[in-house]
Amino acid sequence: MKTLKHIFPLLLVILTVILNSCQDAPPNVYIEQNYVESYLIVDEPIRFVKLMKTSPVSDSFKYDNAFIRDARVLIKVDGQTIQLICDAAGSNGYYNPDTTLLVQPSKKYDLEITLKDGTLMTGSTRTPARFNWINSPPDSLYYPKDTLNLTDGTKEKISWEKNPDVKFYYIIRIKSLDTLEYGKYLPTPTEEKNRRIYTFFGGGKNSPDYLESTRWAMVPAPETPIVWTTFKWFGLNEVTIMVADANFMKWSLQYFRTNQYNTLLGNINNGIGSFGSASQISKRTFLYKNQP
Amino acid sequence: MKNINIVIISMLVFTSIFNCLSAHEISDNSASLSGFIKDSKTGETLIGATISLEGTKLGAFTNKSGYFSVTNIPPGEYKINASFIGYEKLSKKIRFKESQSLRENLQLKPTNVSTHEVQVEAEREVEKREISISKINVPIQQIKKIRIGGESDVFRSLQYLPGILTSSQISSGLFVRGGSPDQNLVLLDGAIVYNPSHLFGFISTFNSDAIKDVELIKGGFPAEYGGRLSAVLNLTQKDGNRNEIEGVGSIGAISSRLSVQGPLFDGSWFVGARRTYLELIKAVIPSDPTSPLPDFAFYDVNVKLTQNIGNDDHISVSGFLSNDGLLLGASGVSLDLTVGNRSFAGNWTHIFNDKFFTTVVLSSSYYQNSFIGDQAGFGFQIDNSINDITGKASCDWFISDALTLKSGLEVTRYNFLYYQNLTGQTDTIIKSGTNNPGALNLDFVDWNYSAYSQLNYNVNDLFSIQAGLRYNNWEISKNVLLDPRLAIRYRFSENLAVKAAWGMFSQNLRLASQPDFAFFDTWLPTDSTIAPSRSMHYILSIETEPLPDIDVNLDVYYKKMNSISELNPNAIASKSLSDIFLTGNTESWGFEIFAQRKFGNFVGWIGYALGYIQSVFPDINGGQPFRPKYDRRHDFKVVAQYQINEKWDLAATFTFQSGQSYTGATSRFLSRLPGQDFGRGKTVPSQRYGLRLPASHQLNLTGSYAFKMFKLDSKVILDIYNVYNHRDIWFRYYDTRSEETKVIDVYLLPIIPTLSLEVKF
Repeated sequence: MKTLKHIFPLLLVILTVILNSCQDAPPNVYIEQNYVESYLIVDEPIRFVKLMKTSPVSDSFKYDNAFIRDARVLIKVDGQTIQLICDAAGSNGYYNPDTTLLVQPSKKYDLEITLKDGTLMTGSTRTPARFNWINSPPDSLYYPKDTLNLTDGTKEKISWEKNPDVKFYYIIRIKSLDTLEYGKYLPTPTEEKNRRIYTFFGGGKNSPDYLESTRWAMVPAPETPIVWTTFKWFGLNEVTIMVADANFMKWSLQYFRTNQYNTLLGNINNGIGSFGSASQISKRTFLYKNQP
Repeated sequence: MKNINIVIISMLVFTSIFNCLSAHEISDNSASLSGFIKDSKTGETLIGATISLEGTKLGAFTNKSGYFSVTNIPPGEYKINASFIGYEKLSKKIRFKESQSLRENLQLKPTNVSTHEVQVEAEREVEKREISISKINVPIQQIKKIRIGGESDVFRSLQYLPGILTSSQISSGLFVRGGSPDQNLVLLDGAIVYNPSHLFGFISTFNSDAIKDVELIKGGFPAEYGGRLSAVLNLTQKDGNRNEIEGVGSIGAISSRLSVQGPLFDGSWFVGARRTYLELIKAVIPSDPTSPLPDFAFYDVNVKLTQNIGNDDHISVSGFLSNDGLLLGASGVSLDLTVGNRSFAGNWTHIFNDKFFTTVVLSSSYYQNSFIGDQAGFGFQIDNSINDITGKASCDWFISDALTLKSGLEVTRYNFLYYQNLTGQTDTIIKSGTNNPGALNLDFVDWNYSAYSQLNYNVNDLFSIQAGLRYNNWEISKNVLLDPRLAIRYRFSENLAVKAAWGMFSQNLRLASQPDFAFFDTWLPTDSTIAPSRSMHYILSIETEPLPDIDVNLDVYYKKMNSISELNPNAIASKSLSDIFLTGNTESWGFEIFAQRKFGNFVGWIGYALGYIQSVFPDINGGQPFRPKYDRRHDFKVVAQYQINEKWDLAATFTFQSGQSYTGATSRFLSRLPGQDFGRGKTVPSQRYGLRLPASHQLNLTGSYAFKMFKLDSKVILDIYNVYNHRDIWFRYYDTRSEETKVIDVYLLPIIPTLSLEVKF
């Protein structure tokens, strides 16, 4: 026992020194990378091809400052090469000035970006086929009275044609247009009595997710009941169903699952990001408040 | 295929038997001694007790049934000594006649203080029968005194052994020498337990009041165990008191427990249960309907019946049930999660004669989790379960004092169910076999046939060898694998023995789970699209006693695991296992030093482990090597328990480990999906798990005072969790919601004192 009494303190001192030396400080090394985020929407012009550089985590992030505006950006389809031009003043990225040239369904599009230093970034996508509503959202909807127990909502369903390009999920996107400023959504309302959506899953009333005017959901079947909690605010809303290609779908998973980039969910060669495509249908509906 | 299996299994078994018989001539005029060693007060059989014949090198351990057999005893009179930790030594003179087979059941008297006595000497002599490399038996009395957050817990106690790592201080998962928890074979009375955790993994499902023996083999385990890559945890439930009815109840901070046991004909029964009462506490707390508190509860029940039928047959039936439930609902969203285990084991042991002992086990184990939710009328449901039915038979043949053979057969039928209804209408039943987007009902069966044989040969007084072979055949993957195992032991002196082990191990089941969250574990069998998981262990061990009463073990190990899996974040539509998992290889190596004092008023251990783990997955970290999250370079642990007198007990646990690994960030960007105004910030990761959080350390103290309350033996226990209030970082992440990137540390629990009351009746 006497021997142990001497050994214990010595061991503790040695190990404390050893173990304390094992910790790493949070990293502050900045490695600049080039980032692409681009989605081609069937029957829409080619636009919003965003090319940016990543920023140091130790600096304040400015979205507009991150843009790379001096690259050569080409889209190739059916043997045709389209050179995009840059929205030099804004943050819309690169676009095709010929707005009559619309993205076609079931076509392979290749993206080719050449940076000033000669770096070549590429990606490709195959656009999904068109599809249509079977039962589109009604022109108007009435929200249930009891916002804590939302079981008395309508059993009405919306449905659309099954799309063979969907492997698992359809994306539902609901954007609050709020053109009447009925709820003064943007920026967000806060404490008013007629607040619409705030669940305990939210990240607080100042979080970007709460302030965002668009809500996304994924459903595996080409039909769904109307789910009240997917609407963010009363007034005019646009309901969009999207059929995404695999690139877009993976990027959506990346967007919602984690705040750390996962290379397996991107598809840009020699860079990070995604070049995807989607086919979509939209319908506007007016959501009325139906409570005292 | 089944015929081929039977042929191969039979060949394996009979070849081993033939080899044994031909290799060793059996003495025909020697005597033998066999029987059970039991607790004199309760009649409970004792596992791992030793018996030795004084003045000879003859002796034995009791096996999992409490049975021993000593053979090749030259005729004459001997003084036999039987001993076990926590019991008084029993000595008795017995005269053996020529060719006499004597059956003698021995009863040991429990004592509060374990004395050194003959235990150590006897262990040295009898260990020749089985080379227990990397095997640790922590006495259940010591486990019960290791209390974390007011609970004594088997898994949390084992985490205080060197080389057993955790993902965090609130996780009961056992990461053994670079292996993950799903690579450990967890057996309760012979039945596999698939998800042994409560409270999202904070504590294990095993009630320490219901357990009588805990055996952990950290690597190089013998051929009788298979189906896992890393380690074996073999737990035995209490049989119950054969002499009188008794019980114990306790009220603690997290849960309350009650166990009752008593005699039944020529046997016993035991019932133990534990449950939380968080819902009672919640009922008196004011609730905000827009942000309600969830309902959470868990319970577990252990039951066992044992019966002797004559002198040669012993049967036991045991059951185990555990359940965790979480219910959450507000603002149109409701979630109902349940997780549970059910296991059953029927065990029949038959003693053919003093040299031949058989055990037949029929067991079934069921694990399920269920997730039912509703979002304003859009319902969804995910159910998942694994159910196995296993039949196994084994025989222990004590051919001579130098030669022991153990062989066995195992057949297991696995039934996997996965039910997923994401259509919005949970009242619609999805037909079996459906595999559509959003509607899955998969119900499939796999079979496993195994056979093993292991031979223990004591070449001479100094050198012994243990060789084994395990045959595995799985039906779905059509994999047929042979796992050879080898261990040797050389005793250099009275105080120094060197052991070495090598073995190949295979695992067919794969676990899809989220790290640190044991709620949605999904077990899947390996299919033909993915190679079977295999590992190879190399272990060198030195055991010595440098100071009186202090056993010291030094283990050096290297382990290589091939085709192990991680969940594929890329999986959108999965048709096979290769879609669900990414596969790669992991190597781990290091050494562990473990000094243990088992006897006296002051018991406990000090352990230190230095370990390295390195994984390579072609699709992770750009194919470059990385260390897993649970890799911790240094691991130092102390457990000390001091019995001051009959009334007062003190205990302390201390752990000091290198910090958990995490992934840093080299830069950030902002992603905006079509139509979005703000988007979300994302960081670009640095080397996967390439950085470490600050070192993790914690001191816990326990003091107990025994007294009489209404003439009943009672005990009040004060636990202080995290005595010096060092709050470990649970995890670190980058908050990119604003323009400024913030490094956020989420801390674990502060100092928590708890008071518990235990009453025996």
